[in-house]
Amino acid sequence: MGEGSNDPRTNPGLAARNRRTAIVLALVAVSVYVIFFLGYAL
Amino acid sequence: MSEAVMHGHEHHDHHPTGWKRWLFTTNHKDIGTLYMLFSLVMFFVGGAMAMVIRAELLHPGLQYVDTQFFNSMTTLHALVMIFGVVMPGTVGFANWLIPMMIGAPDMALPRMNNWSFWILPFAFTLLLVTLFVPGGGPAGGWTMYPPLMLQTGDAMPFVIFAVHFLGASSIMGSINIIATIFNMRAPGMSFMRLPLFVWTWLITSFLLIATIPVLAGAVTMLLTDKYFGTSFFNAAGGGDPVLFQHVFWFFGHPEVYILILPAFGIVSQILPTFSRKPLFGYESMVYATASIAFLSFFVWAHHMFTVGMPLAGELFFMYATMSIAVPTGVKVFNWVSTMWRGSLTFETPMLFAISFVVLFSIGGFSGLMLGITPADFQYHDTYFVVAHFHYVLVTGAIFAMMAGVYYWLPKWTGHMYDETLGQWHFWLSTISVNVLFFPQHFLGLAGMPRRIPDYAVQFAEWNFISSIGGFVFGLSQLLFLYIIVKCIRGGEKATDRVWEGAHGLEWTLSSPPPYHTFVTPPQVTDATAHS
Repeated sequence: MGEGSNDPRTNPGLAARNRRTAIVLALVAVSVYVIFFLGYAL
Repeated sequence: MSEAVMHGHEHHDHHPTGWKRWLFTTNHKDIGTLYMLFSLVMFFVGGAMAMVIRAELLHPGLQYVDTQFFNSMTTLHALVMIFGVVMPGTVGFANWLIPMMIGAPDMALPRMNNWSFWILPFAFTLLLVTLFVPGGGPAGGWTMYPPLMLQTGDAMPFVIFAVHFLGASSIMGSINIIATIFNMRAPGMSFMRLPLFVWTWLITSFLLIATIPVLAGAVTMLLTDKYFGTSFFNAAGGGDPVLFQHVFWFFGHPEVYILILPAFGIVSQILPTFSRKPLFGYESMVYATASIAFLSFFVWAHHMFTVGMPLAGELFFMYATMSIAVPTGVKVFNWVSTMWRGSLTFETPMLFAISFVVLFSIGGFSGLMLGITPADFQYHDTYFVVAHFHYVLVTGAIFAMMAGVYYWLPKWTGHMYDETLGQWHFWLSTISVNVLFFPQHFLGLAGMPRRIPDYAVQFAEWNFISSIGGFVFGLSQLLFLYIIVKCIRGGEKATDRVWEGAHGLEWTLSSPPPYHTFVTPPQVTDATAHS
């Protein structure tokens, strides 16, 4: 719920925000995998 | 039809047709439909495996299948039902409903949404072809414990890669749901105005992101143990097979809540509608859901009380497990209080929702029994456990999904389903599912172990009754399929609101909703929010 339209097709700022959210969450998921797999491996 | 809907309908009514529509779609409603149809197909695949299991157990002795195939059936039945039915089914609900409930035009990341779905058929092809590879399908149980799992033949890498793909699909779906709820709510749709279904999916998505990578790590370690000479779980090489159990259940117990929290959300939408009252204790429902999710990270070892843990560990995990009963009790109390002195009517969605509250509570209570360490030493790996988790997952998760299908099907298709047949489906399912699973409590308490194709003759009567219940329950689901197909093909025209007591943004749209909705966001007020 931000400024302007909530449609990323017409609101580039929202599209960028969606991408940033996705990247952060993907990094969290990868980190958990690394901790549990490489953590035991090393 | 609201002004917002008309606006979207006029300017964005172009969309692909034919097979390309479904293959390349980025529309949340199309993808939601794909998820739900996939879930329905897998329900019958997994159900067919259950019929094989119950046919073999109809009488003592070996009847129809060899022991290896029986074990493959129990393993694949679980994997298909968990990863192929309940998870995609609830993601289908999320795709269809979350944008419509929060006033968003679509999911935040529509192309990733397409990928999340189309990975699934590929992953399940990998999983199910294992029945035809040398050595047969995986037969070590869905928990994939080593060293048994390491004895799997050529099927093992197929299973491991399938689990990785399923995990990737779930994580992408979760990222999409979180980004959508965080960033794309309509003006005025504050967090405490979100419908409870949206809340439960937000919390479930965080659970998925935190735990699916743990499962991926565990099965990667299995793969390297089998093919690359590591010894994570091999005692001869300095490893520990019990380590796998700890890592697996650190994923596995939150997974239980991943399966059931969206079901809580569905029931929390339905009960107020047919009670014609707002949900009792909305805020406490939100906090209870979050508490259940948080506590689920600290109870994993109650699945492995018998491996030989220190007493302090067993006490910790026993008390932590008991504590989950508190927020769960809050939810059941609130559902009952929502109905209390309401103006109740008993359409099919309401019947399934009430059945959920009663029967899920039975599964919850048997879970408490299993959580008591000394009692678990008797119950562990018996049919009591099978009875427990089927009450939680069939009369819990599956019944809630059935309630949700009946509740929103008129909105999705624009047609009312056949109420008479819906009531038949409910009563046949509810009676037969209890005939199927309740006797399994008695079998477990009498000592019948799970995952066996043959048993002592003392267990014959209850197994016979359980199998008959299973066959009736299985056949009843063909009626469910018929009702859905009949509703999609036609029927009485559904109104926009569909149910007199329904509240929320999705009911302001036409039935069925236009291809694009809420291109101009609606202004949300207390009157148009959840209550």
